Amino acid sequence: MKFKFRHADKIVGLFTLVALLLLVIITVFAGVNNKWFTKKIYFTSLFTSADGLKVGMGVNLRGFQIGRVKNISLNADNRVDLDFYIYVTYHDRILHDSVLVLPSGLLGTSAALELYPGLVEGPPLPDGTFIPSTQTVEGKMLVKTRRVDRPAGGDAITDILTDLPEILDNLNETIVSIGNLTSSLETGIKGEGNDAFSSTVRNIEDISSGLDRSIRDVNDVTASLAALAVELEDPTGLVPTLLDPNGSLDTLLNDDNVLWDHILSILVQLEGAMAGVNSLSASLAGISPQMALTLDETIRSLKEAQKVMEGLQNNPLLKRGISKETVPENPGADMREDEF
Amino acid sequence: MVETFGRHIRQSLGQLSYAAGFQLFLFKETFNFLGKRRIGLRVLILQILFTGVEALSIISLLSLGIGAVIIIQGAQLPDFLLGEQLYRILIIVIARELGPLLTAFVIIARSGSAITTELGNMVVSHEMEAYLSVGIHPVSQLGVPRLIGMSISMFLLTVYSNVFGLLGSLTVSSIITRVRLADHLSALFANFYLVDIVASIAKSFVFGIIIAATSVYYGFSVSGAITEVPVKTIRSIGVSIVLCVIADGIIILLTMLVTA
Amino acid sequence: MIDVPIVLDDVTIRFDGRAALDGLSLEFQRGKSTAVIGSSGSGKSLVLKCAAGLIFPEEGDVLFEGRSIATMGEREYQQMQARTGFHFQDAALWANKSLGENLSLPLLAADPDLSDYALHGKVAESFASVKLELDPSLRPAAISMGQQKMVSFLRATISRPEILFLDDSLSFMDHAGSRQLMARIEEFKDAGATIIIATHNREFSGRLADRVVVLSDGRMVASGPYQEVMSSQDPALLPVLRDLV
Repeated sequence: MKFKFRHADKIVGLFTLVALLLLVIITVFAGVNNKWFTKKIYFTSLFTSADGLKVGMGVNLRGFQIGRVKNISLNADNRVDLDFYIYVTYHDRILHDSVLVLPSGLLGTSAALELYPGLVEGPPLPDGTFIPSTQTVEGKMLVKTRRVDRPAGGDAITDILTDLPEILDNLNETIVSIGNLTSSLETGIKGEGNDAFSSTVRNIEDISSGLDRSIRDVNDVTASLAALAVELEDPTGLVPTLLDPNGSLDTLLNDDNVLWDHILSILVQLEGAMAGVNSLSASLAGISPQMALTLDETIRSLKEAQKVMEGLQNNPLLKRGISKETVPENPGADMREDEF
Repeated sequence: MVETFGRHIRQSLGQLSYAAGFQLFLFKETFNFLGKRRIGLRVLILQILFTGVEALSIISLLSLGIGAVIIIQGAQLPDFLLGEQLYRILIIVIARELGPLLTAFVIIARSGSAITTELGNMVVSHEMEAYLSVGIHPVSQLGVPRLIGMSISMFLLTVYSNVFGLLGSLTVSSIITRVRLADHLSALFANFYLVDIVASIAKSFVFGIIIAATSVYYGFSVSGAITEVPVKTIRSIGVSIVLCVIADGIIILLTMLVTA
Repeated sequence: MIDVPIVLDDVTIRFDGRAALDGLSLEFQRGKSTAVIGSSGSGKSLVLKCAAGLIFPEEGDVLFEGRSIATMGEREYQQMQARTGFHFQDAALWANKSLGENLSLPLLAADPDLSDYALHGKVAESFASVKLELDPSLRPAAISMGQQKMVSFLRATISRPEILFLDDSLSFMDHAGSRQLMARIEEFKDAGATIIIATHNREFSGRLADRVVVLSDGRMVASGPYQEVMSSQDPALLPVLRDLV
């Protein structure tokens, strides 16, 4: 008892200092990790749905975190207002025409938003500016008209991966239009008046232009895939230099050509599908549920192509293999099932 | 019947106003404390020794255990240990809730009861009158160092409790998931927000003040009989727990308002 | 200077409805010593504690130099306490402080800037004045009750109060201790201190008291010079006087 009393000051001092030290360590580490001491520039954006969005999620620029989501709220128009901030260090990248993207591939939503900076030279956007998201028409147009600095990836595979979702979206829209068209055609045929028929014709025109657009995109992809195939065949080409020689390329070449054949078969199928799309669009008389089915095949082929591309990209560099498809089965999915 | 009720109300109000006056004096004297450091500093250091240092072992053991148990039980849920959510759950459950509250309960049981008993016994043995007779107010002499010492001890112990609780859970988690402890820690820090730290500290201080003020009040409310001491001690423990839980709720509401 | 520093004016204190002091009015004159005598439970201690401002009456008023103690501000109350000393019946030493700390606290309360050296000197001097050879680092529980009473007396007197309240000072004391104590009290008396004693010791009151107040059931039944009261043949007074030792 006496011993303790004599050292009370020392013991209490140590007890206090250690606790304060721990608190300071926690605060400093948490602060540095969360950039509490960095000045932030606030921006707003608009999304159609809060799916995949959450408060605190990162805002990335080419995969590098430059800010965070501060708040999400449902506004009076049933749209989602999103407030986010950018650390002041990266403020000079936030130029006019910048766009916010929720990367949503076929593999579920990402853990962070991606910011594509605008390409307009000039001062950075001031605090409080609205930055459109790709869920709005404005944002979509900015991306489509290539007015943003969108990661090109530097190789054919990344290009295809970034372009594919957009193309798939277009194709999906086309299929929906065709579906509507077919049903209105049926009602037209059942004798529901001339108006319906004339609007059907107008729709057909829309669709054909939409199809043209989609097919251009699909042709781009096909060209990219063809280029990739050439590169894969050339051992001194772009792809092998990207890949670790002892890694997946090795696997690719030494697994009895399974993966290789797989890619080739997709390319063949893709070509087949393209031919189908082309022939259908060449003649509007071909508009029928059959066309929708073919387009659906195209989409499925493209999806498979994307998966393989992803596998290629992931396998050598990230060692994750081909990710399992999480998209729910579509009607008619069994058409291809037996071949994979 | 009505008369009894009326008298009861009058007495309760009288007690309440006395208690309010007592607490007001206690807090006023606390602010004056720095002026007369010489008399009270020793008592303050000993109070931190008894309340803080001596409770450290039980608090750290308890926090380590509870931190580990949260992970062991949580591991039975699918994906509990894998997502980012784990860190937020740990921070909210351990740092913001269990850390301060558990520490408060241990301190109520260990030190709050001790304060009421000690002060009550001093009243019985006329030691309080002896303080008055030499010109020292016993509430300033005895109450203030206990209030300050208790608040500081609660704050320091809560820091230890949080550190041990989080370390315990992350250690067990890293054993189960084979994620390195260092990776766990850096992910934990990345999920620490300022409001977590502020809420935890605020709670620890508020709980410390509540426990000390309640224990001191009930200690002084002993009027002379030794048999009153255990009665007042039991009451002080009950009231401390209730007040801490109420304060916890209020602080949770306040932090929700601030972060909303 | 007011001649009558302490006045009890119609003071009543009740415990569980029973009046322990019942409308008591008393005056204590400066420089005089007054003995409050009476059997156990007659309210002697209460009179002293009321007069010293340690407890506050439910009815009536206690005046210190014309000021009501109950309405005094904190500082004024402290200044009053610094000028008085109270020797408790049961010693009432602070159990968790050493004997030395028990003695130095009153000094520090009066002068917080007192150096450790001066404190040690005063404490040692105080022990020596009653020929008490005790280790100042001991706790009260380590010494006998008689010694505790002596240390309690030292605590009451170490800051040389003008007014001294002695609540049954001789209880628990051995013969030698009692003589020591009485000698010290006489010194204070000779120095002009106002002394108020509660006792049932005939020798103690006879030797020290200028005036005697006799209490019975919380009421004053007689008061006057010691010899006069002691020789009274009042039948109401006789049983009280017979109880004195």
